[in-house]
Amino acid sequence: MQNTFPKAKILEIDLTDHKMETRILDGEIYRLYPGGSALGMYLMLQEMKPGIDPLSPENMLIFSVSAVTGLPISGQSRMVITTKSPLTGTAGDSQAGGYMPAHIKANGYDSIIFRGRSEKPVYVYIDGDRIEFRDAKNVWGKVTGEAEAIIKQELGEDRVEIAQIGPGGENLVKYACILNMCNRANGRNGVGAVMGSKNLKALVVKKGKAMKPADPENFKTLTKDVKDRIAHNVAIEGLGKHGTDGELEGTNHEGYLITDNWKKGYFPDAQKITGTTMSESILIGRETCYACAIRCKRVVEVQGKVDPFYGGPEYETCATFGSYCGNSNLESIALANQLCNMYGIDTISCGATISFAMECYEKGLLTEKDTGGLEIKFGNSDVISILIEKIAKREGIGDLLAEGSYRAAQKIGKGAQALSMSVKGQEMPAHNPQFKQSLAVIYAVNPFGADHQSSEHDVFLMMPTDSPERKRLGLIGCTEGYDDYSVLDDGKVLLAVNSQRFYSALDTLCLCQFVWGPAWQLYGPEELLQMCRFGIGWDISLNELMRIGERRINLMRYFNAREGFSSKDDQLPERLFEPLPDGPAKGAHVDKEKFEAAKKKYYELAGWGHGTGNPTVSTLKNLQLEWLLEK
Amino acid sequence: MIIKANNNTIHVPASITVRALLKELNYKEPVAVWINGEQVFLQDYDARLVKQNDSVRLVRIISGG
Repeated sequence: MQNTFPKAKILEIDLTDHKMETRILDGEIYRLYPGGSALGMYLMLQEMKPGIDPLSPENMLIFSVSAVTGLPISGQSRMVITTKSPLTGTAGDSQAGGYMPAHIKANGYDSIIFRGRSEKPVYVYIDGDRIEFRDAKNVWGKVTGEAEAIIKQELGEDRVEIAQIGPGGENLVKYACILNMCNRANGRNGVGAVMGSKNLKALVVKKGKAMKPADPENFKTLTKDVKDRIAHNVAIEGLGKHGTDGELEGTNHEGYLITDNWKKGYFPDAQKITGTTMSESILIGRETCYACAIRCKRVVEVQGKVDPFYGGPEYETCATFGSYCGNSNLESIALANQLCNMYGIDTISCGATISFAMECYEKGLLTEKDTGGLEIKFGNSDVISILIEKIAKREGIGDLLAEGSYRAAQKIGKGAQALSMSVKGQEMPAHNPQFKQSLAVIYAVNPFGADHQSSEHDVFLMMPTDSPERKRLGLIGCTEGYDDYSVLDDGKVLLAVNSQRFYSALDTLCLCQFVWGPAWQLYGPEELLQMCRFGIGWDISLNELMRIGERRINLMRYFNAREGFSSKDDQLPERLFEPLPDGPAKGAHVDKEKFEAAKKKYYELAGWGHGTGNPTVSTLKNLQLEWLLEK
Repeated sequence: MIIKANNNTIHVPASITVRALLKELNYKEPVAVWINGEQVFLQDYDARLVKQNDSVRLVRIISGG
């Protein structure tokens, strides 16, 4: 088998001058940064100066797929958007699935860079080498569903995929997202606000032809038994049946479901909002991404209230608009999900910011004078949809909450900062580090803020030694098993470091972490290497894969260092160090001393200076990143 | 009958299915189950019986998403 690497085709679009050009990145370079935000960061660090305003024309907005996107196998159709985040000020990274990623690749592009700012709102239409700037006056201000219909009508073309912002992005909500299919979100880090700042309403791509594997016969060995693979994987089969929200009730049962803005870990009404309840009530169908067999996406309907067009809520959405807000009304959660997808807002940061506001209100830090008469109390399901609209339109209290809980807390003062459950300015997702202690480290050190999809979670180290999950984890050097998930020791730090590198490689290759991964997923590390070999003729080793992941993390961390970030920013909200007050996990907390020791160990294993938390010169050189030092 | 569940010796009704055992122990799905080291697949939870002196390993699958 040949061991060459494909070249990358980069489309560069200047929105200020409405000019575009393409360039080819040599295979030797692409192999080091083979897609996603590794490629995005490589491109950004080539030219972008530190210290720029993320919402200025100087910021870059980069849509990237990867060398393996579009292959006919589950879990390969994802795209990553890289930029400087307006929410965190760090490297920004946000990922989504759907059909769009495969069709970006089918049009011949690995990466699409947007620079500058258009004088008037536009959308960009790509049909192979034909690229058009289109006036967006008819869609600016429209919610995503309306805009999609208008764009298709204007183009006279149904066979397109559209990634767009809603009014949230237009109004520069700090956690605005970019949606494709009106229900697949590049949700985190405020990438939609950057798109809005550029007066770019949408990126539209014509659907193209499927990509063929380099070695079709051997490639089929990975796909032909997919039904059996699903039937013999408890986690994956459950994921298909009940979606990501299937785990909500189990999390609550353990006593770690985020409740009332992280004050508690037990929500008595959790059963009303869990995935099985959704399946038995408002679920009307399951959706999928390009070529994926799992079909984990939810499609829900509430007659006269929630339109199935906008999909259905994930676990994160059910938690943030549910238990975070003390809300057990599943229909209101489905409506919140729809509104966020219509207005283009990240459900995690939005729900978490509303729960923050609820605690501020109950503590008297926000009054009815501030809220325009709204009773923003835990459990008030009616107020959630009202607040989402106000946030998207930046009306009244919504203007404050559109800044996210971290900035809102600074403006409110009076101790509100302690109630913002955020890291580097981004609200924490619904996986509790008091439960999965390795996440305490990951949430703190992850370059783009707390993220639950950047490493493997602790529970899989509790499985039997000879289970497939443990065997896979052993391949990436995580061999120590545990009977108690709440331990935070060197073995857990090793899980954090090694699985973060593996997940980082997945993010680089734009692979779904439910399908590909180092533990419970449909395909493990060995099959991933085979997919690269049979798919594009890339004779990759696990070592090369792990180094790709490590390189991406260090690119981001280096970017952050230029912006003034260091170990001082690798902190967790104080509330995580306090014992849970009640429920099955009463008393559980993150031990501060162990956390600090774990961070120290993490820096040591990562090759980052303990004092700075940033990559050392030797680490950069070891990862073939010495060119950064010459910039 | 007596079984071992996660190294704890417990009493459960005789001839209990995996699904019923999860309910008996108040486990909310998704849960991965091994009986005497052999994993039971989701499709078999209603049919597979747990027997006297079986050693059962139960791990809640709570990960990303």
